[in-house]
Amino acid sequence: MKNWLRKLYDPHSILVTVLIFAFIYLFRFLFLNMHALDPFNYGIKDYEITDIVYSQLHDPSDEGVQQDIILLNSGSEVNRNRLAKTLQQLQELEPAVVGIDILFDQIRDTRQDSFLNETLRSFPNIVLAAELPLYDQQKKQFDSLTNCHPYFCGGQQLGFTNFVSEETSTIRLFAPLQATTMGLEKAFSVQVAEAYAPERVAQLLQRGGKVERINYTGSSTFGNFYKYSYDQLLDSVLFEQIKANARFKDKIVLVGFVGNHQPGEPDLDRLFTPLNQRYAGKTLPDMYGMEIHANIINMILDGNYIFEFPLWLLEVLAWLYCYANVLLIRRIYEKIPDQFHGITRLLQIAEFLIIFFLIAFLFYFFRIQLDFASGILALVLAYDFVMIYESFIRKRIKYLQNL
Amino acid sequence: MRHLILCISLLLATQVTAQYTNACIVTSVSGEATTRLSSSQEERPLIPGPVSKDATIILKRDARVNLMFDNRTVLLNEPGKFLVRDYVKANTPSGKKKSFFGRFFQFLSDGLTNTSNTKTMENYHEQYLNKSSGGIKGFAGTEYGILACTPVTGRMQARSEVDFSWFSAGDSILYDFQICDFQSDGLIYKAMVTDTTLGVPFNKLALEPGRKYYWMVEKKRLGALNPMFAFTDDPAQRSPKVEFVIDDAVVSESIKALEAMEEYQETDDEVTRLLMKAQYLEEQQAIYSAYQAYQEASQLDASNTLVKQALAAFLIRQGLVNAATKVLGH
Repeated sequence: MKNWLRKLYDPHSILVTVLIFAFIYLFRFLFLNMHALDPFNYGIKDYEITDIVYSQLHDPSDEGVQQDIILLNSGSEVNRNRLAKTLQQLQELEPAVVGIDILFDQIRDTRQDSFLNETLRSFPNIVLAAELPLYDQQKKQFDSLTNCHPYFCGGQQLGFTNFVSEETSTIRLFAPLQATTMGLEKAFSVQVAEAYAPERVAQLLQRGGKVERINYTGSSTFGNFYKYSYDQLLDSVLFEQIKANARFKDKIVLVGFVGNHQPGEPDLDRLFTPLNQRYAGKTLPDMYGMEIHANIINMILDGNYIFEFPLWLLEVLAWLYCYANVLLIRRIYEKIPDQFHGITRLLQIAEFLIIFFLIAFLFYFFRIQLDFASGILALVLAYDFVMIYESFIRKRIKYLQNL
Repeated sequence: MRHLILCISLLLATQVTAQYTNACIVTSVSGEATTRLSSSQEERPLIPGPVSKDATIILKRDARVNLMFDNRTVLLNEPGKFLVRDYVKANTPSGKKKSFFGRFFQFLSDGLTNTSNTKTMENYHEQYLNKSSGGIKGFAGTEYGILACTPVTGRMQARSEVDFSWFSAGDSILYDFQICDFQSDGLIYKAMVTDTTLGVPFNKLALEPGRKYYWMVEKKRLGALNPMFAFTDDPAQRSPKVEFVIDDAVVSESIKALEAMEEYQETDDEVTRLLMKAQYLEEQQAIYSAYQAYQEASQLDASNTLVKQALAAFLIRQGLVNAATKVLGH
């Protein structure tokens, strides 16, 4: 064995590393599933280091205003007559694609419904919203899309508005495609993007991921999307002004509820995202569903995806990193036992800051998600496990003393 | 390795030399907001899009405008006039916008200095008292641009003409009066008027007994391109949607029941009888008929302060505070 390789080989450090990871795996399985620790668990399960990048280090206004996607606020109570009239006005503005993020789950008023249906069908490129029903565990697939009445949705382009998340957790993922009894269905945002730029969606599907991470740009609150309201399109004076500046021409227009996060507004379709200023603990939802769709569409159009390391590679990296730390700590323990505690603790703090910086740096500039939680936990535990091993385990097992 | 260093150096260089866009962009407008380029120029409604730094943005009550400039987003939500150039200047921090590295170290230092916990709150509670409070503002809720004057609500007869009135919302304004079906929002009656009163022949409208309707008045700009088409659902532009139900029997049956009462029969004074009638009708939710009874009593004895006070109290119970103030002559 080469000399430098021999220096790196240490059976005691290997044993300590194994002990550390045995503890980490046990911790994951037992502690994070104990109800007594729920307040802690809920916080930690819904937290990722990169959330800090989004909420504290990333300034959405740096992204500027997205020009291809326009949000049209329908208000929280959708009057079908008004919606139809708005869409008629919208048609004059010649958008490339219109995505209606409103569920037409039932027929209400024959006259209004017929007017709306006629208007919807007069659009050359329109995408309607639907929902995936509950997952059938036995059949291992979803039933056909729901909450879109065949009267409106029959023969139209449909997309499901579901995200991959628990009811109150942060929306980080979405499923571009989902198998149902009626075949493969596309997510609402994917369907809209496909109607606008099919080659971009082909690029997304080539990635082959069952789920994709959402690369958030911003929201209308941060000024990243133009937001218009029904009233502005239905007011004849404003409409003429809007028509004159041709902002809607050949653009994607998403129609649905986007409020102003103001007191008194209905708490409707508001969700948590990593852009939330409070990245952990109790907080209020920070983004409307339609804005999340807009972010996904923006990501698809820009081809600006988040890159993730494979899980196995992260595990290998975490083991190597842990081993390196244990080895270093043991060397310090053997060579300078007097300053051992102080040096090791300082080393841990410095390493933690460097790793945190590295994770933030990679995510901020390259959108590379490095989920190094195991590595960080191993770093925290390394000192204590070396101490436990040296003062407790090794002293009691003869074989280890002679190793 | 050299390539990696080069890459990082380039990134650092771009951070330092980052140039922000100099344009001012309005990204969203809610409520009534206008703009004008110079004091001599006419005001135009503000819509999302680029706006000149020399322009003035005028915000009415409850209006909100998101403005982006120099890659910073600011929210204008106070009523008033804002010269964009001055506003931009006032809201641009003196230093350069922080880069990623600046923000990272700011985050770390905040983590060390801003350690708010229960113990800190106990020790420095004065600093935390204005951060949250319980309770609501008196008469909270949306403020409407038009206030109703007559209480046309509750159970209504569809037999006669009903007088609607509301307070003026300014000069040169058209009022778009509408009666709609509550369930379907279908339009039943519509009139564009310049006056603040309107008599509607309920007996000629297709109003169904037992069905709920609402009425409202919307402001329209006089001289707008197509006033008949303009739609808005901004509360600042309209009156509240006042609901009523058609119930032809309620008034006649209530009056019959009232007339059968001994107390009513024993009363000789017409004004007192009218007040009793009004009170009884109000109890039966025949609000408009009760209002008519109060009005009749008030006309019969114009100097009777008790009648005036009873009418004012009735109007306040219907949420028409301004109408009550008008009755009391304040």
